[in-house]
Amino acid sequence: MSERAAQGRRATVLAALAAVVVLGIGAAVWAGLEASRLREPGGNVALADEAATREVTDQVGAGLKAVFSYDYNNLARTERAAERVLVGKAVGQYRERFAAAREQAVRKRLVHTTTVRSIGVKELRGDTARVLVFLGQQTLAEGEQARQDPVTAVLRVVAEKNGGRWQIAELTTL
Amino acid sequence: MRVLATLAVLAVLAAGWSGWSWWSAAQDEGLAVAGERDAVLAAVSDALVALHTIDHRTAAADVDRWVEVSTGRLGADLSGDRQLQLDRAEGTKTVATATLLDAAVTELDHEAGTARLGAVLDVRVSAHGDPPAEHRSRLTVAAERTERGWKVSDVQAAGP
Repeated sequence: MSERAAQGRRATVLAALAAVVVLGIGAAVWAGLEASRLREPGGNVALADEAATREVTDQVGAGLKAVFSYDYNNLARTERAAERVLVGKAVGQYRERFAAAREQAVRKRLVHTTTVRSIGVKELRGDTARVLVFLGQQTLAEGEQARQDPVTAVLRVVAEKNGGRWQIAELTTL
Repeated sequence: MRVLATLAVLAVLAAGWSGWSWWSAAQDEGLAVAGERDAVLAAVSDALVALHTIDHRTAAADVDRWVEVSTGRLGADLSGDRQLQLDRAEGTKTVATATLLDAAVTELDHEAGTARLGAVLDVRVSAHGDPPAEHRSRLTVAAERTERGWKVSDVQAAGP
């Protein structure tokens, strides 16, 4: 009788342990899947890390304003900005665009002003960022009053952080 | 029995560890914002393409889709103008399609459930069976989080 009771208890304990194993594994898998779903964006901290995102938008925005604004009277300032702000592929991409503009600026005495309308960081991983920027651009001849609203240009920018500063490594016009 | 007991302990530990991982991911404000950023970008990208798509042969469904992907003022305007849009599409035999070139979230308020985005699309419009004319559309967009996901509440051309 007591032997049977012991056997019955043993069976109950085994069943309980088996249930704990099944439930434990089930819960572990479920929680693991939920956690990995939440962690999906995988290292892209654009907007999620506010301070880092603002650093990118501030520095890339200021850099674009500086290299895409020029005064026929002081082209050296724009060239100095380009040296400071641009690296890699962007150097050649910029030179192509700027050469024609520069020649015209001198000939027609132009002042070209660029402002940042809006700027969105798509990706921010470590020292690399992908940014979409809407610029407002206006060209005025010397002494001319603004008659039209600035024209919108959209640039796709790849930025790189070098020595603590965000620089522009690639420029594509959209 | 001993093997089973060991397995049970391991299973409980694994559940505890995954549970903690889930809990910490759910508490992580940055991860929540990153997920929201991806959600709003995906929803608005689809919505913008939908809002630039109409075919006079399927106009009713196309305009219903416009209403579905929009909310707020835009949503109200679009559903109010529904018949007008249908008549116009039928009258001009319009076929419009669009491709999204790029889009980015420029502002995101996770708490309030609002976002602003910039987007660039190529839109092809053809009327009366003529070959389509393509133009590039540079847009600033406002989005709101609703019970049924992110929807577009305003679209403006980003200047000339």
